[in-house]
Amino acid sequence: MYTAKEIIEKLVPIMSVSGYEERGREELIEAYSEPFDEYIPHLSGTHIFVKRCNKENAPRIMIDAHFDEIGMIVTDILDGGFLSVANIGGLDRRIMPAAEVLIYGKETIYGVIVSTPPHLQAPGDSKKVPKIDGIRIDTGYTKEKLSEIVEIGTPIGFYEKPVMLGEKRMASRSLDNKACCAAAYLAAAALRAEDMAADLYVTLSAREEATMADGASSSAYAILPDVAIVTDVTFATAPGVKAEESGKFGSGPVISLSAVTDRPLTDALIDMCKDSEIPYGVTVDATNTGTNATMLTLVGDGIPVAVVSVPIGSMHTYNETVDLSDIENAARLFAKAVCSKDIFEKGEDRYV
Amino acid sequence: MVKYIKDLVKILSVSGHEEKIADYIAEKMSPYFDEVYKDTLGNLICHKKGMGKKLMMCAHMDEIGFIVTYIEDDGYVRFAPIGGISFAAAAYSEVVFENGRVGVIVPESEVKPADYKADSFVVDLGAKTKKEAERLCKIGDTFAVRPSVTSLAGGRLCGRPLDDKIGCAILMAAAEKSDSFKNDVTFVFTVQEEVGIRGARTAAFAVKPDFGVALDVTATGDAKGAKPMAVKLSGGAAIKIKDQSAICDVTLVEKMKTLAKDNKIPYQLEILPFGGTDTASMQLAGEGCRAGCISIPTRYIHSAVETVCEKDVKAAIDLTVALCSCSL
Repeated sequence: MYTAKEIIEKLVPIMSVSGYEERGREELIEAYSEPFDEYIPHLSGTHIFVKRCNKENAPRIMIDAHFDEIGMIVTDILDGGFLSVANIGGLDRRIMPAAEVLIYGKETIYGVIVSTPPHLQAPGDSKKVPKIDGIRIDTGYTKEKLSEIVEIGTPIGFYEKPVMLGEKRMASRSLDNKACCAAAYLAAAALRAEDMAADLYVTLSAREEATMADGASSSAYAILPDVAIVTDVTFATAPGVKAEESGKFGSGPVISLSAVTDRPLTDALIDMCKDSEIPYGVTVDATNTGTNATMLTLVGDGIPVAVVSVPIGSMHTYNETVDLSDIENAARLFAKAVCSKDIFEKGEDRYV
Repeated sequence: MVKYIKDLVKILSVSGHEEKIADYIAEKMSPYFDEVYKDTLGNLICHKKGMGKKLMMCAHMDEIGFIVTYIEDDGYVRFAPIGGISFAAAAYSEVVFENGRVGVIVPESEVKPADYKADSFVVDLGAKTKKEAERLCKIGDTFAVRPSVTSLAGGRLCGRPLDDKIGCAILMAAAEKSDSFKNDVTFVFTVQEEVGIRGARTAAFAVKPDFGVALDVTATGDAKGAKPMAVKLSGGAAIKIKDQSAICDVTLVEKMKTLAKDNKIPYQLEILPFGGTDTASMQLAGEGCRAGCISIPTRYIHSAVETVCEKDVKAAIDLTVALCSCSL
């Protein structure tokens, strides 16, 4: 079994630009499946990992962490070996010039986003955010050679690799949402079948960044879980981010209070944190958690859903930051939930 | 000219009022399918059994238009738009109602084109009073800009509403080759696409396809002043990779590219930076399906002069037949 740091280092390099999550299947299975009993591919591109409790008529708990990451897609191959692109997901275009990228064509090649030198910029240009259709990527190839490797529709990701900042903080691309994929992995790794109250379905779901919940909701329809916990990233408190809109690094996972999420399940998770002395925070997302949760609640005849987030800094850049202890504490909470019989109770009583 | 298209454009089918066009298509399609029926929302579902994978292909029957909301004392008719109406394109046009009645859609005097919106337009039916107007139309009646289709040079077709009656015509032409189909094929002529890709969702939930492919129009980058986009008129059928509503299934996109190459069907790849199609609804219905789209490159979408190229239409028909007949 891997530590939090090790599993993130395994997951980050696996290509997972929204819509292209199936390409990394073999690498993912290799890295991720040790704590699980079964892997089920879903046609949406969602990867489902199952750990069974080996009890008859066991309830099902789904822990959903979207696997996809933001990126770009080639829209045209231009003279001089440049590429024009469209965005996949909400890129922070302010930080794009000069970024290094990986272009996942017939072979994976490097590229650099073209930046206009400051000497040549018109007054005021430095204050403008580049538009996506003005962004060009330099590949170093001729157009002819490039056309053999890349075509319209080839996905592009950022290059940045994980590095440690001090003892517990990590910086990397795609911590949104591989930090939470790591938390689900660590939870499964800590679980013994005899302690589990339910079969655990971890869905590393597809296409959250692009179209919100495509992969999560359709694969949930295939699983029809009794309860679901969505784990995604939230904003970490940092210069420029208000304390009331964020969670502090190293203060544990953040539990969402919202009209969308299920109240009894959320309360039960908070009680588990208190009982087991797991540090946690809460955040109020009045009517929209901005995660897969909203769509998941509507699957089939409805699924009770809670949202547990891991705070990250510099979200939607290629150097997101996370505190590894927050991932570990989220994993402890997930493991508690899978072993709790109470959260699977049905009927009106659970709302008393 | 493309078969069926002249008839299809003439039948008014503003979203929510697709019954007449469904009846027309049902009559033409019944020889080619094992069962042809309508579902609760009004989708027309045509199923031909086969031994291969379950393939659903759809095109939407509905068109953008207007609905009467209020009749004024002086006989002018107020209305609300249905779907993505461009008032700059609709201004000073003839409009036709379900009962065949004709009127003209005009902005209030002194309203500048930049300020055009639904509230600043009326329909003039020729009525002098509210009573007269009420004999000609009633609240809830739908209407649209007068349909037409003509040939331009270079094998191009121009008129309205080609969005998405050209897609319906493509499915109908492909159905004529249903003897060669190997997959378990369901053609669905969907309702209410223009108001939120609604019909395809319930149809796909019922059909439960393994693969879902929409046929719909897409914008091009070669209209004068258009946003940069690689799709060109006459460049062949456009295999969609992504639009604002969906990222198409990668394996299905690859399959369609291979089919086009093997059958020498001209094709191009499409990334549409805006808009959505029934693709997204099929992808998400029930447990989901592997979804994609064959797009017909179209200039001036949602105007009265939507323009397509017959070569692209033929390529889309050929690719549709190839998909139905291949091993998926």
